[in-house]
Amino acid sequence: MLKLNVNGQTHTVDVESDMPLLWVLRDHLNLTGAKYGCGISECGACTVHIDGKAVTSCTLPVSAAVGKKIVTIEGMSQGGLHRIQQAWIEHEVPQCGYCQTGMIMSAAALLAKHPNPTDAQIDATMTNLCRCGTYPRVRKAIHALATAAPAAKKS
Amino acid sequence: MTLTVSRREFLKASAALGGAFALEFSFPVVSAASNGKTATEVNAWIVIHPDDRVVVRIARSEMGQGTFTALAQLVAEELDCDWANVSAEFASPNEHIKRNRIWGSMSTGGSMGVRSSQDYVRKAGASAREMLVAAAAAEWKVPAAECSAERGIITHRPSKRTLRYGQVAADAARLTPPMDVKLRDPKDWKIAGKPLHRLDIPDKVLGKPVFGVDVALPGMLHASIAQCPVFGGKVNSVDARAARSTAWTHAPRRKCAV
Repeated sequence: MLKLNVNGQTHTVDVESDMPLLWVLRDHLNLTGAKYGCGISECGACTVHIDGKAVTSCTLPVSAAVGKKIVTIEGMSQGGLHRIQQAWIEHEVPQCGYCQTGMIMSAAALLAKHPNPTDAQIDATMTNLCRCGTYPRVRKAIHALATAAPAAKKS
Repeated sequence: MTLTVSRREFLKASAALGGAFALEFSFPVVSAASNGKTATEVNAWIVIHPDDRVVVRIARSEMGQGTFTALAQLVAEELDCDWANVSAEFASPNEHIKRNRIWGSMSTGGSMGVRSSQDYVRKAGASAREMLVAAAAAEWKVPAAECSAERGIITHRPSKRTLRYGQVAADAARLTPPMDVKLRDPKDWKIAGKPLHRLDIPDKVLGKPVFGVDVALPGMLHASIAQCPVFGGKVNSVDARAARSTAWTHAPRRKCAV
């Protein structure tokens, strides 16, 4: 039995300690917003936050998340739509949507660290893969969320 | 439940309209207990709530191409309702089979979703609008020709009386669907063909849509394939002891697809 803090709630799960966190979230806690894409931490569809940092949950053993604060896409809107989700709606970022929950989690971690990221910082951090090719709108929505003057938004 | 026209009769009449596609709407399923507080299926494509919310059924997949919204726009255009009240939902494949493939083709591909169904989904909207107008006219005991509908409100022009779609939907659903409906000229479109916000996006940013990988059924097992590392390799034996030692593993199947 492992104790996990997910979206502010404590859950006790009966799983093997090396089970990837993604499958604990999806199959045991029914939180299916995080997606399985590649299984090797390359695509970012499974991105969640652990203690505020964006982590690819498909390769993280669940035991490594014990005692930490796990936040999934389902936890982002607990107090109403998160501003990133709002921007994603406003700029119509998603197409098929499969990768977008991971995109949003990555963008949230990026903006927490760099409230006004440059294009280079966006490219370096937002490594989530999107087969629909939503990258230009991802970038646009992140810039729209930036807090500094427009001139500083370009690099 | 009273059906005002037999299925066969309607299909025959629909086919007689001359379309290659037999226009097939649902027959109203209004329960005897319907008290006007529940949503009404006016036809297979359109459900109207008493508070005027309109749900448009979509029979094509949405993969980011916008079909989910575009088809709803086409239906809403002919229905002439307030777009702010419109949401869409996927038609159920199970219902589709149960109801004799009522939504026509449910396949999605080749950029054909809108092109190949625009005609009959618009007719579904126009047909529902005429039934709503007819229901309002019957309520007022006036000729339907004296009534018109716009943005979800039916007006009896001579007396200026009005009724909302939500008020007459249950009555409309009991009427015989019109055999022929006139579609609007695209130059008069107010909803269809306009760059409106996509209806599928708000759910997508919440992680709500159910993709194939998210489907969960009672007692469902997950299978994992162990690929042979060599081309053309064949299974000689399987040592499943390690796999069987976990509480959550079911016996591996040796004879499965190669």
